[in-house]
Amino acid sequence: MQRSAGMPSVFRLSTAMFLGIAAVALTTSPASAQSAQELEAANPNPNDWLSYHGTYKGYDYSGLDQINTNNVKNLQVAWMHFPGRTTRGIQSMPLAKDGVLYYSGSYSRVFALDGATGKVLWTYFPELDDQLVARQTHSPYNRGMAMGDGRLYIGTVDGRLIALDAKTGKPAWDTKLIDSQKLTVGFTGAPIFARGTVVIGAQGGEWPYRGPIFGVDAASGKKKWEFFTVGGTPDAMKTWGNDTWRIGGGGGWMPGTYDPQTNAVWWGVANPDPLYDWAGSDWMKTGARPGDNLYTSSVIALDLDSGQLKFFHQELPHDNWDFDSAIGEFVEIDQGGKQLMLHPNKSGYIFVYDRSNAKVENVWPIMKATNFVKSIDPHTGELVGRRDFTAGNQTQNEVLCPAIAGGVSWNSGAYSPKTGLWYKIGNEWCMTLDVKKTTPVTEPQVQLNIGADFKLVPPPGGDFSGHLDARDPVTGQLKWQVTFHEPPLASLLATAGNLVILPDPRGITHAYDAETGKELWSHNDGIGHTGGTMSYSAGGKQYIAVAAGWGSLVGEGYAAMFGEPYKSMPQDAGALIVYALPSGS
Amino acid sequence: MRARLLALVIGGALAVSAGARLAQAEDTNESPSTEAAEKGAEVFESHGCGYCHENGGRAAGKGPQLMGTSRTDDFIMFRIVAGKEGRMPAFGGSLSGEQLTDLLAYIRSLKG
Repeated sequence: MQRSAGMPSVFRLSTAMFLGIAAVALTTSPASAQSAQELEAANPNPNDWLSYHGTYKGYDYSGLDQINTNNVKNLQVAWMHFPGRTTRGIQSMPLAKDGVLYYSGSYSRVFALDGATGKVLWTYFPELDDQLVARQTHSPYNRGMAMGDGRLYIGTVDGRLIALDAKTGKPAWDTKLIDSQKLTVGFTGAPIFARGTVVIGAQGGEWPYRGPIFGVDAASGKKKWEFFTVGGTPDAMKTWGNDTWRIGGGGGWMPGTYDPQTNAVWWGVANPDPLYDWAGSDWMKTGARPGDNLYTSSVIALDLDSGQLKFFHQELPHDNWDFDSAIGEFVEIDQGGKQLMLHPNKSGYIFVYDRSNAKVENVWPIMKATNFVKSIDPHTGELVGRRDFTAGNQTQNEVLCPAIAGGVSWNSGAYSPKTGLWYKIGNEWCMTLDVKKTTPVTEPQVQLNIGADFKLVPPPGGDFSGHLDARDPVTGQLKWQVTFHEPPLASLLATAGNLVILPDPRGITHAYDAETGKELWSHNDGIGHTGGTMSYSAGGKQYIAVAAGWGSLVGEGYAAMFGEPYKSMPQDAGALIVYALPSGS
Repeated sequence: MRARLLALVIGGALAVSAGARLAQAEDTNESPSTEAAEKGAEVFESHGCGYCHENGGRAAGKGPQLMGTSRTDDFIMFRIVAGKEGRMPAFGGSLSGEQLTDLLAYIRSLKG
């Protein structure tokens, strides 16, 4: 389902470009204009890593090539930093600017380090509502920050957005956006910064609420707008029978991106709740949440200044599988004269959109184990042969694939403009499903609403596995593949040195030749990886930073599936490990 | 303050639990009661417990298998009420003493 709101796309694009440039030039502070220039540069400074994916283009790519296929064999640890209180590992993506590395740990603890030595420049540990944190399921990890106007911006699991002075770590403002004490959820995903506005999405999905996305003024910390991903427009409310939009779930728990050409904030929206409806094929009229359930499991584009919906595409109408669209990976690809936006859905189907209006240009699968639908029409995005459920055991004859953990997980792949290939992990796993009728609990605090019992199992006739794929991002054509027994969960990094860096679950960080997939180097970090991977330069030298630490909600199931080393792998330890070539190399 | 509150909730739940077990033993000579286990199953489902304790608690997932656990009633009650940081949420502020004992009955009733 794809719809566009407002004026014709050509007019909208050219007008937005003019207005956008004028806005940067005329209405923003000098600091904002500088941040906008840096963040929106056609050729960004490769020494820095200014936003979650490096740039708005969503590449997770470093233009640095000091470390390359010829010398990566000499790569060694330059320094490490242990953040402490590493509950559920380190899941965040570091940022870097002017030789300083910034990163966040669990409980939204923030560190500013000298990028060359790891020397601590400042730290900031917010005081959180400990009783609330103890009640939360998806907590206390933090997945990163935004940067702009000389400040860092970070969300907290108790529903706040905090701005810190990047030079001192002193808080500039601290704004409470969500009543987390009542709703149980807060912020774990990174915000984005664009032209003086900070955008952040709340957790949601399994929790009966409306999963808002906020636009906040970066200078003052005042809320500019709030968009409810569940029933956020009058049209959307009509897609929730029995007024179930009041408790529909949604949310946007990973950062999206910003397209300066259209002044659009692209965001991925999470799933509806309960995850598994008992309506069967009559889900438009009956069940827990009758209707399409807009804008859950959708990609939406919001106007940066007003928060108004510009256009959207619902990847999974009435998502019945917890295959939400919250993965915040939006990759800008210009190919064949088209301006495209690639977005992986958790189902493992990869959607390719027209960047001006979210019209579907192609859809292709990255995983083999799939039967939740027979297919997705590559021209329209329509689901073909979907499996819907009634209450009771639904998998006596055929398990459901992929499993709830997804055909892809939330950490990012990487795109290299040098090779033209997109590098991404696909997962092969399935599950049993016993659908339960549940009553949403909203008092005294909102509770997780799953609507089923399940168990992860291997695909029929096979074993669990994951694979690093190098593919054409638009057609999905495979160039090379590396298979793992246990699906890797950390973010990938591609570099101008023709490398792909993959930190794996067992604790090994690998470097592959981006053209061939040949492994060129590896190093044992001593603990599994579930966080960010990036590169920057300090003092004229290239560094690669890897978040080492185990314990994400997917990874925590590895002990039951795979045994050791996961049974004994600590879930309260981790370090930021930074690699470089030896001096004189 | 929090520790005192926890002690009160757990103490209350355990007292209810002991009373329920005694009454049940006198009435049916079965352990645990089917009715309590059925109500406990509803608590289990409506609070998302199966998200971590797979197959309704019959298999390990993100959390441990509950079926056949060798943990004592007191340990299970304490873990449900107080949680474990980063591994399991605390339900002490959400569940009544009766719901806690029902949940315990459900866990004890689990069979493969």
